[in-house]
Amino acid sequence: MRLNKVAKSLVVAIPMFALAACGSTSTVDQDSQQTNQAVEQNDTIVTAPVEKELTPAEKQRLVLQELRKEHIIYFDFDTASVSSTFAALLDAHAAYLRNNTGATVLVEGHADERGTPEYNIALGERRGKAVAKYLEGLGVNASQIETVSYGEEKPLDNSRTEAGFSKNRRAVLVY
Amino acid sequence: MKLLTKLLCICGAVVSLSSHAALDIVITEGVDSARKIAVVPFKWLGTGPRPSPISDVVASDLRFSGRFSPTGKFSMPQTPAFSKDIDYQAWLPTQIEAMVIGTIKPYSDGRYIVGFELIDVLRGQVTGGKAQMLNGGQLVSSNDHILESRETVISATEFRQYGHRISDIVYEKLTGDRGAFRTKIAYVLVDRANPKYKYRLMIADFDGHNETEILRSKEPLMSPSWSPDGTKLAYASFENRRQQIFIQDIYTQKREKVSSYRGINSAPKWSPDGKSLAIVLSKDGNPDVYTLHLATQKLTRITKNRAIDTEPSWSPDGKNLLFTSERGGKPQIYQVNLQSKRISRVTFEGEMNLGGSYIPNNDQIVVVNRTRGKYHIAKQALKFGSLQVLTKTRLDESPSIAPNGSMVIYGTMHRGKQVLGLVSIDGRFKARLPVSEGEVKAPAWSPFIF
Amino acid sequence: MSSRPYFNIALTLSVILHIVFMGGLFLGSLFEDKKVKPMPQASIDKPIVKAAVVNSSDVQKQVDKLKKQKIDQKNAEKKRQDKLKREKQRIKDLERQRKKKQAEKVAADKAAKQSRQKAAKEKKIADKAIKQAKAKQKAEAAKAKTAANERAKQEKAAADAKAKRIAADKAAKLKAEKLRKEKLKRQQEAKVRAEQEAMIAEQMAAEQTQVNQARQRRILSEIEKYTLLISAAIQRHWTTDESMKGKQCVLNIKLAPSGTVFSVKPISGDRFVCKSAQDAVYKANTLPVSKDPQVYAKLKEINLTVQPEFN
Repeated sequence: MRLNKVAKSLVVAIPMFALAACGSTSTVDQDSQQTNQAVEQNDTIVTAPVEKELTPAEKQRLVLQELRKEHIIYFDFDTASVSSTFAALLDAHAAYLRNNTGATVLVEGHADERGTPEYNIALGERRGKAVAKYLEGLGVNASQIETVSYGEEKPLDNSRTEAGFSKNRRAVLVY
Repeated sequence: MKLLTKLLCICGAVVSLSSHAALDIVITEGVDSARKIAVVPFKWLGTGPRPSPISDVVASDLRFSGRFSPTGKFSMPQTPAFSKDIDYQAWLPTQIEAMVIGTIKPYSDGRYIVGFELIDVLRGQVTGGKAQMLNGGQLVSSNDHILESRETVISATEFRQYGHRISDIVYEKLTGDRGAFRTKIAYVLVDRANPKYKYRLMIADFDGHNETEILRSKEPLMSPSWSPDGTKLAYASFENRRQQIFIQDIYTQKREKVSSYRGINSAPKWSPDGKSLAIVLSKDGNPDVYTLHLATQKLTRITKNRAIDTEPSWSPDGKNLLFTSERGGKPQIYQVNLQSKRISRVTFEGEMNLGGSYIPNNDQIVVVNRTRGKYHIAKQALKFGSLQVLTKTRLDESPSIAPNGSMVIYGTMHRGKQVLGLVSIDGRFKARLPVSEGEVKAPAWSPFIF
Repeated sequence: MSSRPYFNIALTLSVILHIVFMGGLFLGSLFEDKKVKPMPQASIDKPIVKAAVVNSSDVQKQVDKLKKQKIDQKNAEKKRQDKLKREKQRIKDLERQRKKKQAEKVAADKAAKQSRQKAAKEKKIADKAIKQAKAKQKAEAAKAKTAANERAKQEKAAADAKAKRIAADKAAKLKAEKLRKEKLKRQQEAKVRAEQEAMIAEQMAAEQTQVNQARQRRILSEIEKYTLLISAAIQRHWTTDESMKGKQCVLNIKLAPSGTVFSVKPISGDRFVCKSAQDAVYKANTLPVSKDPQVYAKLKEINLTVQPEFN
């Protein structure tokens, strides 16, 4: 399990680094080409770039970017229990939060439009709190987590079909 | 001789058989239906175009209540404007029991005189309008078939309002109950297409006319609740990225934040004496019901339970609260006595029951009931009652009852949009209210304003 | 002839005597003409009816039989009464005749007495004449003898008449006695018949009571039927509403024989429930009533209680 997690983070991290490397390489290549053109007569010297280290902030931003793409946990009807499907996702977020104790996350709880708006506020909160607890279980400080419930007031899908309802039953991690 | 005596005895027996005593009959069932009446289009006694179909407002109001079934205009045998012109025999086939007739006359300064009469048609059919009585030693017309006769001066913009006034008078005269046709409703209008202010808090006449915006926001607005004097609305707002409760004076626009605890601040309901709000807070771990005394800001916790407790609603005497609770597993309606804190369960039918409120002057409640996956508005007696479903619409929620208990508005779906529905408390009359484009939610019926 | 004047006297005397005796005989013959008719025989035509339990299944037959019997009896009785009347009449006549006869007897007695007295007187004259005319005594004696015979005959006739009168008296007495006995008998019979009739009358009364009870049941069931019809007629037009729950009203309704409602008055209850019920009655306008006056009499005034129940 742990291995999987590490593997997954690497899967995420390495391509990024690679991309960064590639990016820098290309830039460097371009420069070198130009330099080469400038010092065309001198073939004997070849320079090689040194990869620039990302600042922690930059690293954080990148992680956050990715986290932001994967930040919704969906729930089954009338439940607030976190499904294992989202374990990895939550792990990533937990890891980020653990590593950035100054960062805070807002957990939004939502419900589908069935039932009454007030009851759905309570249900939404229950979902938000479930995710918060999950993160706390992964070592995140409670002080870093805020929850709010929107009940049925901010649906993602207005079709009011089963598929639509299932998209609205969610908790959202917002940074 | 003996034979003669015998004959006399027999005759005596026969005579006693036909002795004079009234026959007792008891009837316990009639036809549970709306009463047939006619609202005759008022006669315009001026020149030029008729100013307003005021009688349409009256007919509509009375029909909405579920207690009356006004005759269609095309079924009327005649359109009298004065009681002396009524041909009672001609109206017999319509089977109406009462009729509203009237006139509109121009008055000075662009104003009008509206006169109307409420006629007891059945009485008129018996007396031909010619009943007499003694007055000061003389026989005069008793006119006991004329139940109401009034004349009022109004301005051009007051026609609908006066129509509602006529409806109130007619309703009260014919049922003994106070009319609720001059009341208002508040609701949230959601326009998802609007890039800026998606959420608007609106007020309108109970029938959806004369909409007025009192607030607009980029973030959700929820659960408006009227103060008992009809001047303020309490509601929940997410304007500060959290849920908070505000009170706003609808005339002065003055706003005040009254509840901003950690977690949920929701479902405000004004007490009948106007001094407190019942609210839902989750600051102590999970959603529970509290009362907030507005003057002192004193908070009193009413429920203390791990399960969700929400949607408080005051009884008309202010002594009890209805609320929704999951303490039994699925959401059901419970009642708590504010004095003794004793809690009892009220609903047992269906998969769940939510959003309960009391019907005034009655021992019944209105709830949102879920059965076989369907959400409907239903009513039930407080004690030992079976549920009676009132609506056939889809995904019903947020019922709010008229202050005279005669009608219920609620949120529902129609053609993929959220709209406001209205149903009479006897379930007879159902309609959709014609409010603005958009999603309409969270209706709240005002108290008696006049 | 020297006895010629005495011959004239004697002749006159004998003629007179002859006339008297002829008269007496004639009178006597009247008595003999009377006939005595036989007395009618009063009898019981039927045996005494023994009291029996009236079997309800045979009531009709028995009633008919008894009725017929009664009619026959009535007729027989009538006949008897007529007969009795006639008898009584006859008795009266007889009495009258008897009295008449008595009177006639008295008259006859008187006449006889008179004639005797006369005879005695004349006998004296005749004796005197005989003393004067002894010679003609034999002839006279013979004549006297004849006269005496005639007298004897007359006396006999008178005696017969007397005897007959006595016999008639006796007969009358017997008759009266018979009549009295007959009267007693008839009284007895009448008593028996009366008892008999009393029993029949009782049976008839019992049967009549049953018929009355059946009639009463029929009237009651008619009333029930019309109660249902009237209730339905009002119910059809009665508009109710849940707001009436727990309330009620009592109305007093009066109906004309045609069924038209001519009076509807609230007696007690909720004003609006009363108005709704009143409206229902007005709408119904006419309620179903029976043409049978006895049934109508029970329907013409109604106290209607309306008490709407809702589930």
